[in-house]
Amino acid sequence: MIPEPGKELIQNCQKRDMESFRMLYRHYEKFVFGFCLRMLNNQQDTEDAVQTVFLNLYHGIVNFKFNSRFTTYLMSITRNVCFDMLRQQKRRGEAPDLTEPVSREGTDYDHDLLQAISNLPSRTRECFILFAVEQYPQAEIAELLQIKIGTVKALIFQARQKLIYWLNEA
Amino acid sequence: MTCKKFRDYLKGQLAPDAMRVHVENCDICRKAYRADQKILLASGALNQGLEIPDLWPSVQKSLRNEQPVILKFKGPKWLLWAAAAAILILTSIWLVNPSRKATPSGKILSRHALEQVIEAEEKYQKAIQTLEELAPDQLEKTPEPLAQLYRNKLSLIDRQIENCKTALAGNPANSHIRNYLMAALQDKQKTLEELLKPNG
Repeated sequence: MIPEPGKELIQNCQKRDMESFRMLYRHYEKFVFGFCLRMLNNQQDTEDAVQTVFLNLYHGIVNFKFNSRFTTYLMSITRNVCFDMLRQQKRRGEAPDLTEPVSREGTDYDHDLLQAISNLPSRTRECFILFAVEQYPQAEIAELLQIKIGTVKALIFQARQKLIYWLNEA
Repeated sequence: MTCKKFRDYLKGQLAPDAMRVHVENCDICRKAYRADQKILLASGALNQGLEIPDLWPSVQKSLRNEQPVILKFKGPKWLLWAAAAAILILTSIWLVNPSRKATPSGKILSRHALEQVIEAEEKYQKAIQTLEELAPDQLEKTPEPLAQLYRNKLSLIDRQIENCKTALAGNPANSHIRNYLMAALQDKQKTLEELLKPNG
C-alpha cells in the first residue's frame, strides 16, 4: 500500500512549487501507472492517462482541503481519467468481448489473465485490481473508492467467479 | 459448478483454513479453489518488475506550456531600487524645472476642483501621520534587509512628495503635479500599511 505524502509537500504543491510537484509525481507514478495499465490494458492509452491524471492533479490540488486521505483524492482523479479512456476505447471498437472461456492450449497464462481482467465491467475491474494486483485490504478499497465495503466484497466476488469461468478452470 | 462452501469462501464468509479442509474432500471445489489461488497469485505478480516509463518530462513540459511567462529580475535588489530612484529623481527634476509652464488648456484645476484635491491630500497626510508614528517600532522588529528596503522606499517617496510641493509652490493649480503628489501620498500610505501588517 502506498504511504500518504506529507502535508507540507501537498501544501507546497498547492502553492505551485514545481519541485514539490515533481516529488509528488515520483511518489505516485508507479501506483498510477500500474492501476491505469491494468484498467486500460494498452501501453499508449496508459501513458496518455497518466499524464492527464497528473495534469488534472496539478490544476485541482488547490481544492484539496485535507478532509480525506490524499491518495483517495488522487484515486478519484485517476478513476475518472480511466473511465474516460475506456469510453474512448469503446468508441474505437477496442472494448474486449470475452463471453467464452479462453482457449488454454499453448497460451501464456499472464496474457490470458490480462485479457480476462480487461473483460470485467469497469467497476468490478477496478475493485479486483486494487484487491488482487495492488493487494489492498477490502476496507482500504472501500475508502479509496468511496463506496461501502459490502459493495467492494460483492464486486470482488463477481470478479473472481468470472475469472475462474473465463480461464476455463471450472 | 461449485458447492455453496466455495461461494461462501469467495464472499469471505468461510475462513481459508476451513476452505482448505473442505477441498480435501470435495473434487469440484478443489478445482475451483486451485484456480482461484492461481489467479490471485498471478495477479499479485503482474505489477512486479513493471517497467515504468519516465513521463515526468512530458508532464512538466505540458505544465510549462500552460503557464504565463513571468519575467523576473535576476540582478541584485539594490540595482532595482537604484533604477527606481533614478526614475523618481528624473521625474522630480522635470517637475521642478522652472522653464516648464503649465499650459492653460485643461491642465489647470478650477478653484472648486483645487479645493477638493487639497482636502483629499490633507486626509491622506493625516492618515500617513498616524501610520508614521507606529512605523519606527515596526521597522526595528522587521528583519534586515527588508527593513532597509522599506526605509529606502519611504525615503524615495518622501523626496517625491517634497519635490511635488516645491513645484506646486509656484504652480498650485497644476493638475499634473497634483496627480503626482496624490500618487505619492497614496503610495506612502500603502507602503506604511504594508509594513504595519501583522505578518509583514
